[in-house]
Amino acid sequence: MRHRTVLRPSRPSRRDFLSMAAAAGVAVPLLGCAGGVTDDGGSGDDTSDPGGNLDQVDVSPPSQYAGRVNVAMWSAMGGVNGEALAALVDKFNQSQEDIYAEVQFQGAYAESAPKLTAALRAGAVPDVMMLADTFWGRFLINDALEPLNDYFDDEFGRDDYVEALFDEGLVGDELYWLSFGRSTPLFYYNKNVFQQIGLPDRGPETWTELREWSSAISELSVNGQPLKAHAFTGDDDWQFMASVWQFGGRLSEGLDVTIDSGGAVDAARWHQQYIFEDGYGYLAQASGTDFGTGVVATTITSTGGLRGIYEASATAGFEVGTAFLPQEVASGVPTGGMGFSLLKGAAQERKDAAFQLLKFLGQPENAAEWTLATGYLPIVKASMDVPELAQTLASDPNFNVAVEQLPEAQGSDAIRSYLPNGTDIIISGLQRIYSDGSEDPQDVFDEVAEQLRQGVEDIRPGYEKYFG
Amino acid sequence: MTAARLRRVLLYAGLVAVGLLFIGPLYWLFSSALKEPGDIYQFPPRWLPSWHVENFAEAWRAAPFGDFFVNSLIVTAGGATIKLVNATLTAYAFVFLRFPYKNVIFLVMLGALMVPNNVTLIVNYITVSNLGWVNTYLGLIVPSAGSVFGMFLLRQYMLTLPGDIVEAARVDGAGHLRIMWQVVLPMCKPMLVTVGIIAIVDMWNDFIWPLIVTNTVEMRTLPIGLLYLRSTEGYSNWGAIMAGTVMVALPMLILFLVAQRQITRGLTGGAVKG
Repeated sequence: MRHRTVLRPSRPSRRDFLSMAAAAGVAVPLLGCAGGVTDDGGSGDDTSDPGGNLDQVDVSPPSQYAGRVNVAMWSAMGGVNGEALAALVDKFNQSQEDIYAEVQFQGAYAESAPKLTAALRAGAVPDVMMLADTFWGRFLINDALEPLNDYFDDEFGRDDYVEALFDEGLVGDELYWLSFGRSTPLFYYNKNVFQQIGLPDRGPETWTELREWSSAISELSVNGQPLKAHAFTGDDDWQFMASVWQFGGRLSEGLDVTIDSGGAVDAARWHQQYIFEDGYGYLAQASGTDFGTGVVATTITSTGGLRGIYEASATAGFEVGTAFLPQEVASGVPTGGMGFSLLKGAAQERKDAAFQLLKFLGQPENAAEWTLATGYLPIVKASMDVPELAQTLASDPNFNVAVEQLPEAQGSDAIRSYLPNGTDIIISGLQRIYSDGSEDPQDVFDEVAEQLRQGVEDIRPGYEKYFG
Repeated sequence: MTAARLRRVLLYAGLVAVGLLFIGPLYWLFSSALKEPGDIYQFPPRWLPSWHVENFAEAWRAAPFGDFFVNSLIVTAGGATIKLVNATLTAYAFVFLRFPYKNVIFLVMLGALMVPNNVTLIVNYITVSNLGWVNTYLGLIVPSAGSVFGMFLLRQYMLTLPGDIVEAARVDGAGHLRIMWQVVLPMCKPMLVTVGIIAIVDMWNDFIWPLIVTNTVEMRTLPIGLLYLRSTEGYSNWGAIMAGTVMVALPMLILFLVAQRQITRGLTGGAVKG
């Protein structure tokens, strides 16, 4: 019964979301024939052009902000992060007298992206859209996003940002997506366990080293159960992509799928062996939670999980250590998280106002406030000099590890970003490998690659238009 | 021990096991809503709550739950009423009226029951948007006004009613409205309650459609309110989420407890009369 979702807030029916994502996959190609979206919307060619032909979604300004230009921002952030964003936008509204911006929360990425698809089809859109790093490409190749270069000027531009993160929004030389809440995976380890069995106070340099350490770890027990050495994540392919890179492979080169060869298969086979033959690891339902409660000694999860893990580990009574991700034949650190895009079809006046909001969020003190409230990486260079953030970075070595690892980070392989159900296909293959020792990784990934290649055929024309 | 006693013991053991299966998650929900944040994460789990009622205050502060309650009440009351009226009228028509292609139309409606809601989601959104109903109560209520399932339940129940009574009413000169109101519906009461409850729970718990069709926080309903409590990535305050979930789930649980006798009568009634 679909409506039971309310009793399970942790995962309000993943199946519903997947079907929505699938629905979005069907609907996105339709945009090509949706009048308006393909029009050039007055983008860049003439700024005095009143702009696009898409209306604005409902905005309800409080009376003190009446008469201003309204900006609707669609957000995918609930909880603590949502509150932090709302506080910053509120500050923006108080800081000037021309623009009223409203944050409208639309559910997490997998819900808000299909909703944007529907909104584009229906002809009434927000002005600023929060999109995950693996979602904005789909809207790009359907011509829905506004090129942003012309909005930047001498006092606000690429130089203000951590370049590697900023550049992930570039297509050629043109920016379509401005980084905001960015993260990378970190290696988390239980310091008390490491100390107890005489391991050095650092993360393993390679997966092989982790395996060497694991036999000693698994001799310990927690609450009568043998302690597992490492928890793998199976409901996301982000961590796995990191391992693929670390084993020298790629999920895809451009849109050419390579998940069925080289490092991808090696990484999967290594993980599978580690889980089933060695018995050191397992596929976790929520690896961060398991680590925080102390039932597993190490895991790999987002920098953004640090706050929650601290809280849990304080109860469980151990000290948390973080380290760079292990390598094997290469370094592999993927970035994740989200940024903002403007909608091409919105009126020019709205787009100009919307960019003022993005500029405000990119000011050092605001970026620092965001980082401190959420645990996302500092992406504006000067924000690291803001005293409160500088102090946190100096006093919490774990947080600093994330910043130090950043220069090694790079964006996702294209297959995850541009194929609407690409991650779903990869994840389902990955779960088979992680949960069943008799599945041969090569066979599973042959099947996965086959499905991915079929999907690629549909999106290739749109992709080549931007990357050809 | 006699065979009868053994059977009884086994029966009760089975009942207890099934009962625990149903009550366990609910107990976990209600007790976690009253735990300190640290206790929720504890392993092995702590079964007794620490009466940390601040969770409720935190949930209430994090999102405008007062507005959500009002919206949920309006949408549920409006939507369930329309659903029930529609289902009753349609079921009556299918059972007691004669019109061409009755069975074909009935089959088409049953076919609509097989189409998952997710398929019609984006199409419905575009329709509602073209009508200008996005972010309005109309947009929230009207698309779910028809309940094929409710119609089907009522139709099957009405088919089991003794035809003689309706015949007698007709001989006495009663029209269709009078027959429906004074003869058929009083006999359908258990099934009406069942269909009504299903409609209410459907509207109250609906998640995806209200999320899609509303934009601003003033128009949101309770299940979406829960989403406001949860972080997309990283840290979530589970105590507040559990407290929010209790606030959302409790009214429906109470409704079920109050109406359960009618519901079981409704669901089994049709089956034994056959």
